[in-house]
Amino acid sequence: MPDIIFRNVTLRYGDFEAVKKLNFHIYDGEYIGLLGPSGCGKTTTLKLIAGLRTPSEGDIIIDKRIVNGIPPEERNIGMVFQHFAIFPFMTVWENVTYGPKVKGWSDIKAEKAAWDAIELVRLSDKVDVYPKYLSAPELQRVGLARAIASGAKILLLDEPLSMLDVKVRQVFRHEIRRLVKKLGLTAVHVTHDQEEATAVCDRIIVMRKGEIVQIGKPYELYRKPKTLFVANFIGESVFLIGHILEVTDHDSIIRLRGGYLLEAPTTMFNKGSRVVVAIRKEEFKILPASEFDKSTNQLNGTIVQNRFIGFFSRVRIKLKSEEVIEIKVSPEIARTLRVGDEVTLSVNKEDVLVYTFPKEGLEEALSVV
Amino acid sequence: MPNLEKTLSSPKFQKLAVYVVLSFFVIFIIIPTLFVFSAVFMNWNTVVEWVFNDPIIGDARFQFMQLTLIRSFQIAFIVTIIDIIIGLPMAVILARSNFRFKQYLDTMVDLPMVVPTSALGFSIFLFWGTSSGISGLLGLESGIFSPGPMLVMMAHVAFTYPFIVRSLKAVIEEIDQRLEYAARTLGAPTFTVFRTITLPLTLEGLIAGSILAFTRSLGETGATLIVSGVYETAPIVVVTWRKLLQIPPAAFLSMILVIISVILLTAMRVLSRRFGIPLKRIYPKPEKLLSSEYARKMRNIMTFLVFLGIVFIPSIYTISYAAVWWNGSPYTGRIEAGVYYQVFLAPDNKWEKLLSALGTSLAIATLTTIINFTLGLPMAFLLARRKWGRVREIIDSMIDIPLAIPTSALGFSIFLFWNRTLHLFSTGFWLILLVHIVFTYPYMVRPLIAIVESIDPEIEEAARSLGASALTTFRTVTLPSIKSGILAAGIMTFTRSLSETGATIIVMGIDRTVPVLIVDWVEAQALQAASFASLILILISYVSLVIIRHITKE
Repeated sequence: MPDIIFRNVTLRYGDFEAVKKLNFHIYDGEYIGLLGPSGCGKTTTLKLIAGLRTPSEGDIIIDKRIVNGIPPEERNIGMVFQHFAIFPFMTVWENVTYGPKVKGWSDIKAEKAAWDAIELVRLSDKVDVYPKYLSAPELQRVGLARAIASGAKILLLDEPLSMLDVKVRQVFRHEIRRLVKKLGLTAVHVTHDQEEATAVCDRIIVMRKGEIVQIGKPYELYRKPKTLFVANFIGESVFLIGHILEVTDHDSIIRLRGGYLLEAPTTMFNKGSRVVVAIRKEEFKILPASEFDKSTNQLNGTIVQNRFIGFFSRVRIKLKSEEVIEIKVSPEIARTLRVGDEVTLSVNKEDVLVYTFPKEGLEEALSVV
Repeated sequence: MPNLEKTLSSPKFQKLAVYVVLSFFVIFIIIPTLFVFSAVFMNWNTVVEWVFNDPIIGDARFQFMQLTLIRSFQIAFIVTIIDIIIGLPMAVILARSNFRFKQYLDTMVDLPMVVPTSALGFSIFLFWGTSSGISGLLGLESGIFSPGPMLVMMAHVAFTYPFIVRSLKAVIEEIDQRLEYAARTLGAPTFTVFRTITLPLTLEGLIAGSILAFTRSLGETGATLIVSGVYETAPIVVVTWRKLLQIPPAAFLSMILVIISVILLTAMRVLSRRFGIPLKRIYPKPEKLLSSEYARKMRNIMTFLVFLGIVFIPSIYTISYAAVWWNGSPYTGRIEAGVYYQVFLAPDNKWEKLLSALGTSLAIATLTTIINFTLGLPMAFLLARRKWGRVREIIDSMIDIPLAIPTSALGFSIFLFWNRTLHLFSTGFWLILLVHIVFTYPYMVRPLIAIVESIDPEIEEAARSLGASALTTFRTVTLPSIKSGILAAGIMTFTRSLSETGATIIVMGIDRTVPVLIVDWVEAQALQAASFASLILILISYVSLVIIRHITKE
């Protein structure tokens, strides 16, 4: 059973550490996302699994075997590439049979595997076509079929959808997932698109600057982001600076600039310590200005902008503390709001996430580059 | 400045500039190059008499022509095969491997290309053909090869090697490496990947590179003069006949060489368009063996040793010769036999001749570079920017003609045009200059076209939208962004001119450039002086090469 295990894997180029001390365990049959901004080391991680890179330190274990020095052709993996990497001088059929052939399978076995794969991706009518006559989604289907036909139990997907149009992308990602689940494959899907990752993955490994920052199910990442970076990268949040005013048995009271008080279900911080509060942009409720009563978990201010985006609106509000925050509001409510209106905002204490104020500064901690 | 430039940017002046550039190209480059045709046909009767119906020797000259042409083809064919065998692995290593000294190896591979051909020939002659070379190391009395076919072949292999490695490396580098990754993840070991993915994608480059190497070998004159002995190839015969003032048969042979070269050039353009033969059968076991780390190491070591032993060391062997012979003969110790005495102290004052030849060489190279830059840059812009369709394609293919033609035939054609027919220039400095302008033209224009095509037109459009006239935009935006490329093309032109031998011999009269001085000295058995002159040219070329590398890297 092809579990993939990383133990303290580091890859260095000279002094530069492309990935640092990676530890994770991917179970057989899982659909895993590798998510992070560009340059975070996610593609490098994929290449390490594929054997296209060799770790400088640590062990990679696939199917109970340490594979550090083993070349890609002996790892029984299938890889799907961002720019497809379809062999341009071969037809679809020749592309898909390439894997079985180089592995020295018998002709009958090779052709059966190729046909099965081609039918799975619905390309039966294109077998003799050369890649230059295929559209982008068709090319990526060939890429999938080619990987599957080679008998791979592990499917590595390197930004497989980024070259496709937005609409096609949304359909295609579910198609890939269905295929993976149907064949019982283990899949590792690299993407920088958090929406794509949350939509198709069983679990997501979030990376930043060569390190893993959090591993979890999509909803966990959304509800309980471990760091400010994850809170910013998965979904959208409002960040406010304050300090711990009081710690009770179960909760803490945080005092923000402008004297606002927030209650949060945490006792992790000492009284007086400097913190950053993160609140999901969609968790704010808008109330009339008159309902502001200086109790906890309320903010107030003036609307300075109201933009309709699609299935929600982005509303910018200037708080009394002079800070400007942006929140997401459903269109029905947004329609009733005018620039210049005074409003009160309220949040549930369960939606208030608290983090220690980062040493490197807030901007740096949130930065996605 | 902006106002003047605005006036000069007007359509009227632009049109004028186009005419000037194109007329220059036609009158100074193309017509002289191809003039040999009309010269032959205008004097057809004389040619027939000399070539086919000589009152004394009948068609013996024609027979001899055929013989030498066949020789040239045989040599070129074998040389190309050897080049592919030893050059392909080198191209793969340079394109795909990463190691500490790669940059130096890369420069070393290019060196035979910039070493003046006569110096190269002399160096190879010293290495393979005299007791001071390899045979001395092996303890033999005389050289391994005496001047003749083997030595010609060794010289041509060294001379054409960089061309084939360069073009293959460029093609391999352009191959999307992800295709190779994909093949590996599908289960192909590295050798299978190379054979089934890399090689088919390289085929165009392989064909283009082979034809280029073939043409170069076919037309090589400078080095061959030194190493051929009595084994004359076709381009050498042109030189010989020209020296004997047997103009009509020399013209006829030149014409044949020009025709062959143009045909080969066309073939290269057509064939390299699209050529894909996927190799179907796969042999998992033996290919896996060939993919092993051990096999790869062996390949790398072999490739490097062959390169050192056959290409690199022979090409610059003259340096070691000059060093060993500097103070006197290493055998007898006689000071009079040393390089230093021969060049600086001997009564015939060789250093004076060398100095004056160096002056001529540098003057011609400088003028050639300036003229070709002035008229080549606008040409590059015309070809890269104007939407001329077929016209562009025709001009574009004509640019390479001087590159493909054997230099002696080229020199001869130009000599016929300016000297014999128009009587405008007598042999000597100015005719040498005209010849150099023609044959370095492609070396200047070709890279310039590539550079101009690589400019993002949006930055120019941005400048225009900010109020700059066409010419101001060119001077303040375009030119600075292609500065280093221009410099590299200029240095290349300069180096090529400095090292030209075959065509110069045809038109030099009593003037001498350094490369032909080397030929003279080798013929006069003044090996020490020849080695010193070669040394100087190699040094200049090497420095230019390093500068080019440095500039183009930035």
